[in-house]
Amino acid sequence: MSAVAQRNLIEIRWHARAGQGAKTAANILAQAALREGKYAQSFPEFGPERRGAPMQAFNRLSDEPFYMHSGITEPDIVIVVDPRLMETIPVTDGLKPNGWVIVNTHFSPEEAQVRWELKPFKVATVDASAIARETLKQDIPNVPLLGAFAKVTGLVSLETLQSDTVHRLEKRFRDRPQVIEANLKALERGFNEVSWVDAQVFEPILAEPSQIAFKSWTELQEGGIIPEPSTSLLYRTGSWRLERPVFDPQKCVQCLMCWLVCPDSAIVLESGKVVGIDYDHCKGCGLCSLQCPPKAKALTMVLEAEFDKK
Amino acid sequence: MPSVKELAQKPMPLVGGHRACAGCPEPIAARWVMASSDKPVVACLATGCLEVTTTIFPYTAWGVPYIHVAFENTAAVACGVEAALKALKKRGRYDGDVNIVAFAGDGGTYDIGLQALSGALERGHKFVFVCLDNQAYMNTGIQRSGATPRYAHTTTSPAGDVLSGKPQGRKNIMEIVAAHGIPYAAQASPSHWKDFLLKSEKAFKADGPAFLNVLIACNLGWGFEPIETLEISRLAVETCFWPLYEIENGVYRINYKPRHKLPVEEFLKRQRRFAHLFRPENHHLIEAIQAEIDAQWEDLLRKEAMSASKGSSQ
Repeated sequence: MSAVAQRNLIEIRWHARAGQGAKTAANILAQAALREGKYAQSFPEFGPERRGAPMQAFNRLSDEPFYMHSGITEPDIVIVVDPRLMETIPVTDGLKPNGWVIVNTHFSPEEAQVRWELKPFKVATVDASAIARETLKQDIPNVPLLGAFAKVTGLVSLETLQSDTVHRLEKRFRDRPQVIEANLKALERGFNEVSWVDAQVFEPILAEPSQIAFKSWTELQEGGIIPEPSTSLLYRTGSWRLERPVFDPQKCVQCLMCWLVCPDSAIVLESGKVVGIDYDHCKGCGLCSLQCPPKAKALTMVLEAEFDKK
Repeated sequence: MPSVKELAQKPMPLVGGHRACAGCPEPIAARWVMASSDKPVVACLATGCLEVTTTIFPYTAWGVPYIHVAFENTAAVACGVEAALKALKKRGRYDGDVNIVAFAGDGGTYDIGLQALSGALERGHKFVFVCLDNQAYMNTGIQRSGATPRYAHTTTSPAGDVLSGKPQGRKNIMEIVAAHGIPYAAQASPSHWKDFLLKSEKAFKADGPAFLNVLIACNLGWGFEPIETLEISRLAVETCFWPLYEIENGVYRINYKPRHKLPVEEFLKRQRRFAHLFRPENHHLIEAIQAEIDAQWEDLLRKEAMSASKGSSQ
């Protein structure tokens, strides 16, 4: 018996970063459900942001026809493709009590419940990034997460997902069968390696008000003018980072090359000297570390995951 | 040209918190251009990545006055700003002195914005038009543009069994712009910052409209890792895919001649948009690209030699 009781309409919300494959995963899931005789939808929602920016994708699965086409605000299941999103984005917003949160992380479900305050929900965790790195040789966690989803919810079978994956990749990788092989492996490992725990708290949670207070149209200036300069500093893009530049002031020769090339103006200067990095806005592109003179090497890139462990 | 240390003393014209992709050189280029101005700057933007990512309401990353109207009329808007400031001065309501800079992508320059640009250049308004050329409509999802190079894969010129990427070559926008007889037009790349800053400074000092065509390596649309941005831009210059040159009052000057011109393959092989060219059956396409680039480079050398003799006989 699967862990999710059969209900007529199941709504699923994916939280990922643009470029992590959530749109594709949602698509595969919908196709697999269709093939099993269900009615299904899948669609992404992007802001005007770019690769690395938070995005959402949605699925609706049902045994009967349905006519809703809106974005999903009260999901039954939330899938978190990048756990670092939970630092800035309220991923469980509107999630039904006793709903599922499936997280890509190396933490156990119990640890995840505590770490990200997920006690009111059923939590499943799988280290999808590690599986992807081992099987696909790159960090594309969407495929193992699909495997985990199938195991936890039982809404689609592993076999259907497997045949769909083959079907999807067959044409593109016809001369590289090992890619398809690796994807199937990733799917299966996700299925086998996921573990989960029940909800610990059963009170309804009140959604917190949105952080940005949008003005009503009557309060806006004509032409949508923004009267103050540089307000984007209030918006943090630091969580987009996969790698963090670490600055060693002892080694710095103050050539300012890092400051010159930083696309996010995130090199902090004090009276004309580099003193550190603005981690609230640095997106971790690494251009600064490459511009740093090899003899100085005052900037080194370190995987953000290293800091999570500490 | 001010030194980097002097630039660092100036207020930041474009701050962080914008939502361009990690490693995107557009904010770098915009900052460098504006920092090279000796006067306060007013920026006019076309619809495009730079506009969309820096001005998500209610935020703005701009530290300078900034206006966006539409995709096609950036140059016209810049002219309007220039005319309005003149009118205000005439009436004694304003006595400052500013530089006007327009930023547009290749879509807003080569294609959709071309007529407004042509009109503005012909009327001779004093402003600097910067084309941030990432060689496709990256903002809307990598559709081909008039700036997309031959055989590049885009979503509307996909590489497959029928097509090998875009069948046509790029428009020569530098020649189109220079044909208006403007005082200054130049091609620059963020990989060569000194050259870039010198050209920006010259553009602002030009007596009339000036044009800068800047190579913007797009990690999403071209297919490479963000950290490679400046390396790929450098390879574009070293292979003569993107020659650094300027046309000053009709005189051509190549600012950088690679000592050993690298084969274009070195530039192509680092990008997924050209990955299909490296299948054995497509090898002749790389040769075709090389031949085209060689011909363009020769042509440029010839123009430089010719205009040099013209310059000395005057």
